[in-house]
Amino acid sequence: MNARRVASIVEAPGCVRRTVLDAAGVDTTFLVQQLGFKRDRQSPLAISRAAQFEALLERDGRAQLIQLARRHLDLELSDVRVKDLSVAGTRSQVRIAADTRRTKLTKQELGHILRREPGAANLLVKPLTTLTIGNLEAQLEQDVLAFAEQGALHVVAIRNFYMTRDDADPTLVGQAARETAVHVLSLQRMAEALGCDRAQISTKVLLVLPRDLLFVPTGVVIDVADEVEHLEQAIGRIGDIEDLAESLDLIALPPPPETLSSEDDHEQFRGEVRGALRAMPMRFGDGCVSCAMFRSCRQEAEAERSTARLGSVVAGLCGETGSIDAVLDLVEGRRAPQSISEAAISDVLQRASRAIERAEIAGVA
Amino acid sequence: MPTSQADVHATLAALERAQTALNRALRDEQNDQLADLDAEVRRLERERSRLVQQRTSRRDQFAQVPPVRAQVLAALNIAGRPVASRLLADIARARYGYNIETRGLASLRRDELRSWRVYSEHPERAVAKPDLIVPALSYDRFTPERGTLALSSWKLADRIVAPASGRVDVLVVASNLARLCMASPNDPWQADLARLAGRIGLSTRPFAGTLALPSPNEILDAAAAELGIIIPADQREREDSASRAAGLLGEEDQLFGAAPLGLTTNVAGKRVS
Repeated sequence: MNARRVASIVEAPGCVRRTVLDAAGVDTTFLVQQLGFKRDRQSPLAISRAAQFEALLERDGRAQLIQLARRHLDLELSDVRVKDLSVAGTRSQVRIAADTRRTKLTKQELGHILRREPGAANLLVKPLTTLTIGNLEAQLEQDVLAFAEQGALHVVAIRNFYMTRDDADPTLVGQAARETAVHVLSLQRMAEALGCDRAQISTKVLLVLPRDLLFVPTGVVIDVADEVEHLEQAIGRIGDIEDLAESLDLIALPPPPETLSSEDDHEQFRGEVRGALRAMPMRFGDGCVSCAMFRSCRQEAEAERSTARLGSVVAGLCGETGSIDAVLDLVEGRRAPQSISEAAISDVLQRASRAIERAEIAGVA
Repeated sequence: MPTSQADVHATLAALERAQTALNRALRDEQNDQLADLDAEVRRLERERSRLVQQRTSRRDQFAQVPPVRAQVLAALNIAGRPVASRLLADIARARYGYNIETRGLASLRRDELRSWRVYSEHPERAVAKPDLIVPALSYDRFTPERGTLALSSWKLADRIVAPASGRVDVLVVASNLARLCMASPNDPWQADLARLAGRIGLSTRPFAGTLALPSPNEILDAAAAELGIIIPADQREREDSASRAAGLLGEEDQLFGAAPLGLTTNVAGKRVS
């Protein structure tokens, strides 16, 4: 469970399948591979460029990051007091499990910062925070940093897509905003748990990107207040996941196969997995692209001839009539509309159909 | 040991014969002989490469580069404060053209510990007290700071890193580099070293948002301004920490760091990260 998965809860709201799988901590990437779909792999070049960019920002005591924070977040940062909360940085207490001690140390340091104690750190490196979703607690490895001043904390996100002179790819910026909102929300809740004001965690985050195709780091400040709000609402809607799970007739996922020799065995295994998945209703839509289950659910939507396969706009238009065949029957007159909404769909699509005919005759389409 | 021209002829002739035999076996599909013939061709090709290397005398160039330990010592002496391995490698490259591979530095630190133990058991054998490459120590538990290096001859307070020390040390190092550049304006390495110092200088307040690297003079001024504000508190923290360490730790731990809490020691008695 990481920030990206949590952020995508907002993108595909109301998908029971995803909610239950995420809450159960199922490795959906592995699951989808077992169904025979190829793994989504980031190119090795992209990975090494990302690693290079981070190494560049870590150079010289994070000199460039400090400068970007001073400039874009308007922070004084006259001295830079670093608290390294990464695995490597917290190795001096190996008696406790890494995640536990990192979360404890993060909370401690956050307390010092928010209470404006002298000697508190003002640069946190790789803090580890938690977020409760449903009634389960997700541990968020923050691959971000945070700068603090006067009891206020700003999250920094480092990304690898590049920024041109004036702007960057809005889809990617949006995704970064949603992911960073997860970190911000998690920090806000931690602040409240410490008895401090959640407004001390600023929604203005610093996004650090390479400039053009040069590797020069540039900064841009984005306000993720809206994203935080949407996220809170989406999480609120999840409610009690265990209750949800009990209301469904869940089938257990089969254990991962040690040895599957014949093709028949493979097919049987896949069938069992698909059966288990189908016990959880899905809500297929435009937001599904970022989910690991995307291809599998898309195949299912296609097999069911669901209007969702045609995108959220079309599915929304067709309303309750969820099957492509049912819609075509309406439009082509094989079936009479059963309700007002069916009459409306039928009307719109018939007009569209006639318009296409006219365009074809005119030689335009 | 140069080979005679007759030997060169013999090797080349043998290689040509072996290649012909391999090609024939491939053409005539004599698959059972392929492995052996291929091995023979490759052996002779290696022999030929050795002859080429002798002639181009690339080996002489390798002989001029000092061992890694000496390279690291040289770079640390220029730096003057604890540095991350990446910055150390950049200093060594800019000033001397050395290519230090940061991955090898962990084993270097282990070797240093061993050398020290030998020395401390038999101090009479050493010609002089060795200057050792040691890790910087954390200010709270005196554990070795991963990826940072220092010299044992520096005082303990300077080898300890407190929360603000990262920034302080980087600015001090930049100032040291800038001073070196100003003292030797005509040396061939000056430009590279000035560029390195300038890169750090870009992060000082007067140079926010600029792309042009500050000159050594400008770096000194800007760093001094920032250091003037942050050094006193940092120095106090380091010295307090050093007094504690001197009271708590033995000589070895004051050099190489204390073991992390709860970590069992291995057979040799210490885990060195």
